[in-house]
Amino acid sequence: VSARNDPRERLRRANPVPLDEAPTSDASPGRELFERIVAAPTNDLVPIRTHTRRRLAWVLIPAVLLAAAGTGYALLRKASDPLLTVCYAGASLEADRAGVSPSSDDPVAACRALWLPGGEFNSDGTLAEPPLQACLLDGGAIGVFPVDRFGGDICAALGLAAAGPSGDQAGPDAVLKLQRTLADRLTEACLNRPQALVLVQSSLVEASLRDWTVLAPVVFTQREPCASVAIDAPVRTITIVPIPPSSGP
Amino acid sequence: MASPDDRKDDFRHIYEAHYQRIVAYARRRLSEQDADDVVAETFLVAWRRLEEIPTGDMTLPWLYGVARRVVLQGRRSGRRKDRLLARLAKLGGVVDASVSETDRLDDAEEVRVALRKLRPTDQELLRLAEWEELKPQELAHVLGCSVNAVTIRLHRAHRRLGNALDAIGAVEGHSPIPQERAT
Repeated sequence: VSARNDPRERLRRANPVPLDEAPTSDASPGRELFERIVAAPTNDLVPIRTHTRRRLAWVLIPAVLLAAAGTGYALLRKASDPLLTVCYAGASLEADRAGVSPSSDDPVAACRALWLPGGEFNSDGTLAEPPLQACLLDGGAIGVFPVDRFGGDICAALGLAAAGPSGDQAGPDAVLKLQRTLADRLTEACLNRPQALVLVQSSLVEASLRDWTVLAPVVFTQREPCASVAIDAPVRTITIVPIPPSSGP
Repeated sequence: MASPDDRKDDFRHIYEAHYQRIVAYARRRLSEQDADDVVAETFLVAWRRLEEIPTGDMTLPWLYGVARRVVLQGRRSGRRKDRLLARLAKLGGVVDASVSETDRLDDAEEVRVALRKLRPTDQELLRLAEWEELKPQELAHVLGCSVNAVTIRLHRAHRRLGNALDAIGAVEGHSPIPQERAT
């Protein structure tokens, strides 16, 4: 077999993308990707935050399931309800936490349910319900923390502003508006990844939320060609994910 | 634990050293957009699991292993799209007036057709060996098997590729490299 007819040699020549034709890391897309990746919140790497990831998935899964079930875009809107109240399991920004939809005007009441026996923070019912205090997080969301047994102002201790007894909604307005905008646009049409990136980035600019991070790490496929988003307000990150198309509006 | 700056520097070193190869790997298997997603996902995993990445010569095989799993995940949920891309790939190609270039493209397409006739595991093994130019030890790391096993599988895969090329040549009734016959 001559070298040119050798199957191995022919396979090498059939390489559709010679290495020198692939872009290097110093080209624009490579640089942008690097910055996007390293801009991801580093505390996202800490194992304790797996709880938060599970909660993030909780926000996404209904959208996926409901869209897959063909129940329509309106239900995706429900799954995109603002995630503006974050309940912390400890008196620390690094504590385990869970996001809840603000079903009432009282974020403390919304988080109190998690501390009841059988609740997410008290599954075996052995903890006494701690006093809770609502603070305004940097990202504009409300964070509700347990006040330790020595009392004191937990918001001040964490360097946060107190949200007030009924929850100060002035801060999160921009986030709320952003979420409504994205929910509306993503429920109107099936946007692909580049379209969703443009939408999210322009919406962030319009909402004056310029220091947020946008991630789109999951591959869009024929089966899941439409964008949905998960908004993690406390860490100012929007993750674009693919979901199946809905059967109708 | 490394400081955030040290961590970023470590990641930058890996990223700059291997970005081009991972992009090439992904684009050899997927559309450009899908390939970009695979590259992003692969390096996001690398960033998150930086402490687990083997050093030295095994860094790149580790990244190939991650990229391979990302591609497989995408394929599992997108086989229809793959078939469409394969059909488009057959229809596509650069039109070039020169005879030698046309022959070269024909031969490349013939090889790719033969490759697609093999089992997916053989296809990937051959691509990794001949396109990514991995050595048996690196292949073993990517595929999660012994060097001995990978050597045997590679030998068999080459033989099957040769058989598939022969079969295509017999059906087409021409030599795979016509210009050589003419000389």
